[in-house]
Formats: sequence, C-alpha cells, structure tokens
Amino acid sequence: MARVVVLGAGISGHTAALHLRRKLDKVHQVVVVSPNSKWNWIPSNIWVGVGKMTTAQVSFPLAPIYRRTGIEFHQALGVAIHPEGDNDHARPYVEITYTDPTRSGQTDSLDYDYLINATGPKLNFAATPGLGPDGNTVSVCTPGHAVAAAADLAQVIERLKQGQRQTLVIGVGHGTCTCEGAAFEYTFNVEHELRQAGVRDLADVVYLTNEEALGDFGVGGMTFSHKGVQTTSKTWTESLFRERGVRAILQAHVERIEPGVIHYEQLDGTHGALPFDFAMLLPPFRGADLSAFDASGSDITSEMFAPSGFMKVDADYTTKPYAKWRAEDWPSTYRTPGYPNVFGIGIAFAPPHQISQPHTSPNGTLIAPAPPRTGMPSGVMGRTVAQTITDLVQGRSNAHPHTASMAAMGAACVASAGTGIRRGTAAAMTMYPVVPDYEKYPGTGRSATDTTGEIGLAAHWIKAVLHHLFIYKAKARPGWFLIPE
Amino acid sequence: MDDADASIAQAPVPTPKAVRARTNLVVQAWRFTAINLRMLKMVRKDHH
Repeated sequence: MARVVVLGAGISGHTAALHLRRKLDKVHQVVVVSPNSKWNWIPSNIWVGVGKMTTAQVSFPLAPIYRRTGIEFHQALGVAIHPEGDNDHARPYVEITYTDPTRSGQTDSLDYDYLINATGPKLNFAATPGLGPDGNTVSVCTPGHAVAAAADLAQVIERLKQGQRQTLVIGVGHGTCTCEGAAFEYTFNVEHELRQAGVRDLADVVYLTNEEALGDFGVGGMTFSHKGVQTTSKTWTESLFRERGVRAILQAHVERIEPGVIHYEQLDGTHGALPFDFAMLLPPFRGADLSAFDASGSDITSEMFAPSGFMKVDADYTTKPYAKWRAEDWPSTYRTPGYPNVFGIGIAFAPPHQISQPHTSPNGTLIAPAPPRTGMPSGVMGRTVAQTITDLVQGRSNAHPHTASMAAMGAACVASAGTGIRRGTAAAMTMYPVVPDYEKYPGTGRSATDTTGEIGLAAHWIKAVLHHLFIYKAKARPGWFLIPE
Repeated sequence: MDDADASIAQAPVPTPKAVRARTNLVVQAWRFTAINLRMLKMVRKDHH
C-alpha cells in the first residue's frame, strides 16, 4: 500500500490528486492537505471584482468532492517536511496544523511514500507598505478580496455619477510581481464597467506595472502571427490601450502606498507619486512557509527551498546572466534533488530565473516580473507528476519519469477585457513554448505559427465556457478526466 | 505624457470595420470555432 500526500488543493494540487485517485487502486491512499475549505477558479475572480459573479460561482467546498472520490482530506496547513523521517518516525512525514474550525490549531503528522508540494503562493502584501486589503488598496486574489474590490468599485461609480472625477489605478504592487495578465484583465473589465455605467468620461484609468513594455506579461512579450502579418504583443496591447483610453506607467516598483497616494520608483531611478481614488494592485508571491528537517533534526530548509520560499526541483539554479539563460534550465520532472519521492509543482516550484529580462534601477531596485506558472501549465504539471507517481506505485520503477517542461509546453490564455454575452471582449492568446527556446526557434524563441493573439467577442465566449468546464472538471463530474488541463 | 503614453498614442487603432467584426455574431461564431481549434492544437502538444 502506498500513500501519496498532496500539500495544496489549487489547480496543480487538485488536478494531481484527482488523477492519482483515478489511476491508483483503492488500496493506495491519496491524501490532500489544504488550509482552505474551498476550491477557487481564480481566473474568474476578476468578474467577482466587478460585481458580475458571486463567490459561490467561482468556488465550491472541497470536502464533499473528496468524500465522493475517496480522497482523504485534511483542512490544515503544511508546516514542515521530514523527508528522511526522524528518531520517532521511521518513514518520511509532514507536520500539519489544522485550520478546520472544529480542531483549529491542533497539530498532526502524516507519513508518506510520495509527497507533492503544490502549496501555491503566499500573497506577500507585507513586501510593500500599505499594500493590500489590510492597507490602502484592494485585491482580486481571493473571492473575498474580490467582493471587497467590487464594493469599492461600486462606490467609485456612484461618485462618478455625482460628477466627481475619479482616478482608478490597477496593476502590480511590487517590482517583482507576477500575474500581470490578471491585472490587465481587471483593468479592462473595470474600464468596461465604467462605460456600461455611462461614467467613463470622468474616470482616469491607469495601468501601473513592472513590465518593461506593455504586452510583456512576464513572459518577455510575444511575436504573434495574424492574417499573414507578424506583430508584437507590445504593439497589439498598446493598440487596445489607445482604443480604450487607458494610461500606463511601466517599469515601476511600488515602494509604499499611503491613503490615496501610490509612491513608486521607475527603472530610470526617478520617483513618482500617483494620487488615486481606487487602486487594485496585486501582491508579489512567496513560497508557503514550509520548513524541512533531516533525520537528525537539522534544518535543511535552505537545501530544499530557494530563498523565495519556493521548492527547488530538477532545474539548473546556477546563477548566470540573461544572455546565458537556456530552455534546458527549466525543470521537467519536478522532482526534488536528493528526494526523488518529493515533487514541487505549480507556483510552488522555484523557477530557475525569470522569463522576462530583469533590470535594476540606478538605485539598486530590482524591477523584474516573476515568471507566471499558473493555469494551464500548473494543471499539466499536476497531471504529469500524477502519471510519474502512478508508474512508480505500480512497480514501473525503471520507467522514465513523465516530463512537462515549460520550455516544451504551450499555453492558451484568454484575458477578459469586459464581460457580456453580446458586448464582452477578450484577448485569446496562445504561445508555444511558454519559456522561449532560442535554439529551436531562432529569433523570437517561440513557434511563429503557434503563438497567436486575437481580440473579440468569441474569446469572451471561450473564457465563459472555460469557467464552467474547469469547475465541472474540478468537481470530478462524470468524464472529468476527458477535459484537458 | 511619459514614454509609455507617448508610445500608446502612436499605436495602431482598429478600423471601424475591424471593431464591428469583433462583435459581429456571424464572424465571432467562426472565430469561436477557429480559436478553439487552435487551442486544441496547443493542448495536443501538451498531452503527448
């Protein structure tokens, strides 16, 4: 009998758990540990943030799904990994602290044969003074945050209707943030709502980002082929900003946020102050606060985790300049060095470096979008690691581990620019691969035929369909496994 | 106006015909099919 413990029940962890449960005999145990009681389709939080969806439409309780599928669920926080066991435990184990209200604060240990760390990000609002719902800005990172953002937005629209001019700032709250795509989506959904409310002319909408150029999205930008013409995501995105009258501040590191004023530094070292009436700024991410200990009880956290808190896997973490970065630096099996039965997937794995070129201001401030590894790549990693573990459990120990490098993986991304079955729009983008491979694809690093971008109502329909499809899949409804990640 | 806004001001804008096509139901029904096929191709690459 084998026991697989999955820390985290987001897109990657939940996908891995469901595939493992489907593929492994019932004699084997699949255990999920998540501090959250609910699963959340995060891409739709932006619609909660403009009041077009409720939290119930983007999330659902995990426990009933796991009960039905035969997955053991602990609503708890993973605290420490002991990959060698210790004097009191012959087998590897993880320490957990329950967040389940019925036993909140209680601790326990779960031994494992295989461990998947899919703990996702810690929302590091503390990195920027005044950032976040406990500070002076709103967020759409969780359904609860998004509800609060929608309430603030409604007040702004009310003031606009009374004839008061308002400045709305949307973007990222630190120079090392990721998820610029989500900030882009929220910007244009808010702009769409302002137009629908008939108050657009009194509103200044500003996109504040750490990206070097519009359309960078943390992946170094893209070169699209469309109707026989190659264009860049920069030109394509700037066109949308011009069409919709949205201003942009680029290459910015937000230093602090006071009530009504954002203070930021730009790459040229200059400092700016941006007054606002409404600000949604995404936080930078850190890894979950997991510790690790060897058999003697010595702390090996720095061996298993990068300083950012993300788990080291089979990547090349050698420090090297941007010009030396290679596609093969990126991990493919997501196994942890030294512990082949431990995997790190989704946002939880430590990327070897950024994808976009990092920059430092004359003042020494790092302004470098972190690489996105959410959505489709996260799900693919979850399924891939589940396949590897299934092979190992079923005795195919000589089988090669399954691989899913982001340098050999494509992504389809649909960025909403406003909701509505007749009036909605979205940008549908595909890129292959996610991490550019300049040896395989000289010039742009990506396939010219598989990297595309298109704006229109059809893309909005696709995003709406994907919302329902992925929630159906996550609920493990009949045939869920036929829906690709 | 800083560099970003100056660059935005120079960006190409879609023609009225292109804007209408973005919400034209017939055109978008076709694009819905085409984009889905393109995404399925991407999925097949990832699920090899």
